[in-house]
Order: sequence, then structure tokens, then C-alpha cells
Amino acid sequence: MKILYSVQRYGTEIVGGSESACRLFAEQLVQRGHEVHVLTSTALSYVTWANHYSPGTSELNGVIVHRLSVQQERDSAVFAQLHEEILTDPGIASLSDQRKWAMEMGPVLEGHVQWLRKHAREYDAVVFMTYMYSTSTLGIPAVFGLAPIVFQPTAHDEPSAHLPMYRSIFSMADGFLFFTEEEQNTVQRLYSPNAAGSVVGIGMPTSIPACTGEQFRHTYELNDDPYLLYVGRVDVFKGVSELIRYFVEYKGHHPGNLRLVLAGESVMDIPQHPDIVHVGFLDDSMKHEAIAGCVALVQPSPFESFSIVLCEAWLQSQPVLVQGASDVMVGQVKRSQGGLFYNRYTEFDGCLQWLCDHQSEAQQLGESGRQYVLDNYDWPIVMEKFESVLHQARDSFTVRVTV
Amino acid sequence: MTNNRIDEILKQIQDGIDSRRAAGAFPAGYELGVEEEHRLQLGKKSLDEIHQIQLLLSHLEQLKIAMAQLIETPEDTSRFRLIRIIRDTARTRHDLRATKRQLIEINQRLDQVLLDVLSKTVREIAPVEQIANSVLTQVVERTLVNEQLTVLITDLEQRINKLENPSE
Repeated sequence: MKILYSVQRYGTEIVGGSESACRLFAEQLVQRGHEVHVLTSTALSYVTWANHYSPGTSELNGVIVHRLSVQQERDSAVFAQLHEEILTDPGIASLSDQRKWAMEMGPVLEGHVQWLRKHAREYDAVVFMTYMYSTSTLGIPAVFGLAPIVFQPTAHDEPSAHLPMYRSIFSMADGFLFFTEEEQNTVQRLYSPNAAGSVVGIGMPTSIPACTGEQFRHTYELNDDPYLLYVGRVDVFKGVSELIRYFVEYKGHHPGNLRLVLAGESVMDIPQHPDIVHVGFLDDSMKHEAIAGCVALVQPSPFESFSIVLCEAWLQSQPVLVQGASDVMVGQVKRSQGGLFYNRYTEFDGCLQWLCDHQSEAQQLGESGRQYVLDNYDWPIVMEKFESVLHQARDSFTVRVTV
Repeated sequence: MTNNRIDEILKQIQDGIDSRRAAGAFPAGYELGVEEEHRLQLGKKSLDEIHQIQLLLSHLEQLKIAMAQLIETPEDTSRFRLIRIIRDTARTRHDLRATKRQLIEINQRLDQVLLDVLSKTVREIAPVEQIANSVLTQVVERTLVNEQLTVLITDLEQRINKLENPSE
């Protein structure tokens, strides 16, 4: 099949969850003999959408990438104000306000809609990744009726998901790809779309080189100190400020040499603290080293549609500690029996203390997580489900346009 | 690994938290205090005065426990010094109790004032709100109908386009 993937950012430097997932899916499709194109922006930063890559067509690991320039960088002040206004009661936001919000959310691309209208018919299916950005809110209506639309929304129950415009956007899809059962339930509850969908998850490279964590400890001068690891964007909206607050409180109750290591690009101020170490973005090899040496991997984000890094930790048989406000992550943890979750500080304290004091049992949690990933997220299993949705969407589209 | 192993561990952890709470590690209002500090760090100052008073009460409670422990386990064995500490501590405890009583009174009065304001507001705006809600519901419903029509029209446009240009 000839497939077009639409995503807000694309590139090896981009670590955002949905963007990384999109690249992995696109490359897997290529490996399975499909012709895959990606329509994306020239942006690297999701905060400003500033142009970074050159516009035009290029190739990345067998995937043809079409980049369109960003028309206008995001004005953070304007967006923040609009965001707060409109999301106070999203259910009653006017259409014009919703449209304004969608445009401010961005990235608004030069000739985006025209490109899609001109080229959509060349593809057997167009897959839209992530519901929130204008690449989907403007892109899906542009493709509607021209090619089968497969929506991989990475949705979770957050205020913006309650904007009425999404009901229309979701109604245009011919098929859905979900990361988790919780995501599928959320979409069904919020939009009741007609199209069928399937929980495909995401594949994981199951062969990770053996690591001890020594290289990571040596590079970042951690000595033999135990550490709790966070991998991802260091961002208030990812729950990192709460994590830091909780960790500092924990250290007050449990003085010792435990550290908190934050690995990832930072878009917030990180307070100075002798036990908090920010190591910036890590390449895959160093990330595996970091995971290998940690007490547990922590995922504090309240809004996650799927956490790849949890699966990466489980593949290395490491336990995880996740935010209980995220039903998706709690679901993953319960299904895998691969870690613990907390809802408030005292639970965070208790769970972290347990993980530090029961390393052998914690290791068993990690092993359970590993088995869960192997059973569910091996690429061939995932891609068979993915292709099945593509075929269903094509059939459903054919029926719809010929009636 | 049993299917409910996580539940067992979390239960064990919760028991530990309860024991520590009973031992005074997490006094009343403690978790709210942590959340509040976090909110303040984010620059979102809370204006909830009742909440602030509850925090203050929890701090006072902590202080009370600390004082009680000081009385029970004096390090200084000197009798006169001990008596002085006990007197001072008792006076402080008395003052603290008085402050606490005052704070509770303030808390109750604030609750009452807020309740009065709330019931008055509800009485005054209820009919207006009812009308506004009804209008809003109608607007939302019509907006959704419009959106669905837009979807259908777009679909029809594409089909007409296809009929007019079958070669495309």
C-alpha cells in the first residue's frame, strides 16, 4: 500500500512520544514493503514551532518526508490566555473560538490544506497521528472524501478533548488505531465515532544490548548512589514540577544518597538541589545505560495516551512508578504487574521507599513488565493489527463514497 | 507474580503510611500542605483562606506533638530546669490552644459567611442561570448540527467533484 502519515513534527532529534511513535510505525511499514510518505512541518520545537528543517522533500530511513514551512510561530502569551479562556468550559466554546484556538495551537503550515487536497488521492490511506494539533484538525477535513482516513489520535481525557469540534473531526475517520484500551474507551465515550478501531499499542525493539548502568554512573559522576530516573520532556505539563516537589519532600523524610535523575530536554526551571541531576537528552545507548542502573523509572505525567519509556524500562526488567491520575498508565501497570502507582505525596513516599527497600521484589515487578511487553508489543504482532485496520478503513471508505 | 500482587504491595504500603501517620510523620493537612507549596512554587497563589487556616492548624498540630514529645522526653535532667521547661511549654501549649480555638472560630465564621454569600448568590442568579443554560444548550446543539452539516456538505462536494471530473 501507499500510505501517507501526517504528524506535527518528524525527525530523529524529536523525542516527543507521538512523534517518535510515528517515525517507528512509518519505518516498520517500509520494512513490511509499503511505500510510506510523511507530511510534516519544518519545526523542531513544539513550544514555538520555529522553522528548523528545510522545507521540501527528503528521505529518512526509507520514508519519504515532505516538509512544509510553519506560517507563523506560536505567540505563547496569546495562546496561554486563549487556552485558559476556552478550556475553562470547553463544551460551550464557540466555533470561532475553537478555530482560533486550533490555529494558535498550530503548527499552521504553508499550503497545508492545498497540498493534501492535491495529493490525498495518490494514497491508499492517510494516517493522522495525534488529535490535538492543526495537522489533524485542519488536515482531516481536507482529506475527507478523498482517501481513507485512519486516525491514531493518542487521545486522553483532558480539557481540550471536550471541545465540540473534535466530534466532527473524529466522525470523519474510517478507522482508528489506539495505543491502549483506556484510550479507546475515552474516544468512544467522548465522540462515539462510527468507524471501527483496534488497540494496536506500539512495537518495541525487544533486543536491547546488555547494560549495567556503569557507563552512565561514570559519565554523570553518580558513584554508587541509587537513583530514581525520569526520561522525557522536563516540563510542568508532564508532571515534573510535582515530581521534584515530592522528591524534595521525600528527602526530608528519608535523608540518604538517593538521587533524582532527569533525562530529557527541559522547558521549565529546574530548582537547584544537591540530589537532583539533570543530564539533558540521552541517546538510545546512554538511555539504556541510565535505565539499567536505576532503582525505578518514574513517570509523573497525568496525561499520557501511552508511555513508551515504561515499556523500555520493562524490557530491561526495571520496575516503574507512575502517576495514578493517568488511567492509561495505571491500566498498563495493572495489566503488566510491572510497577506501582501513586495519587498523592504520602503514596509516592511509601511506594518509593518500598522500591528502595525491596529491590529483589521490585526486580520481580520489572520481570513481569518485561513479559507483558514481549507478549503484547513485539513489532510483528503490532503491525499485523495495524495493517488489518488499514484494510478495514479502505473497505469502509469504499462503501461510504460509493453509496 | 500473582495477578493481584500490585494490590497486595499497595495495601502493604498503605498500612505503612497509616502507621507513620499515627506516629505523627504526616499530621492532619500534611498532603494538602505539600500540594499547596507546590502550587505556590508554580506561582499560583491560593486565595482560599479556609484552606490557609487549615494549613496553619496542621502546622500548629505538628508543633503541639513536638512540644508533647519534648515534655515526655527531656534531655536535661536538672529538676529546676525541667520544671521551667514544663511551665514554659505548658504556657506555650495554652497559648497555642487559645490560638487554635480562635482559628477554629474564624474558620467557622468564614464558613458561615461563605455559606450565606453562596445561598444569596444562588437565590439571586438561579432564574437567570436557568435561562442562560437553556440558551447555551440550544446554541451548543445547533452548533453541533451545523458541524455535522458541514461534514455532510464537504462529503457531497467531494462526490460532485468526483462525478464532474471522473478522470481525477
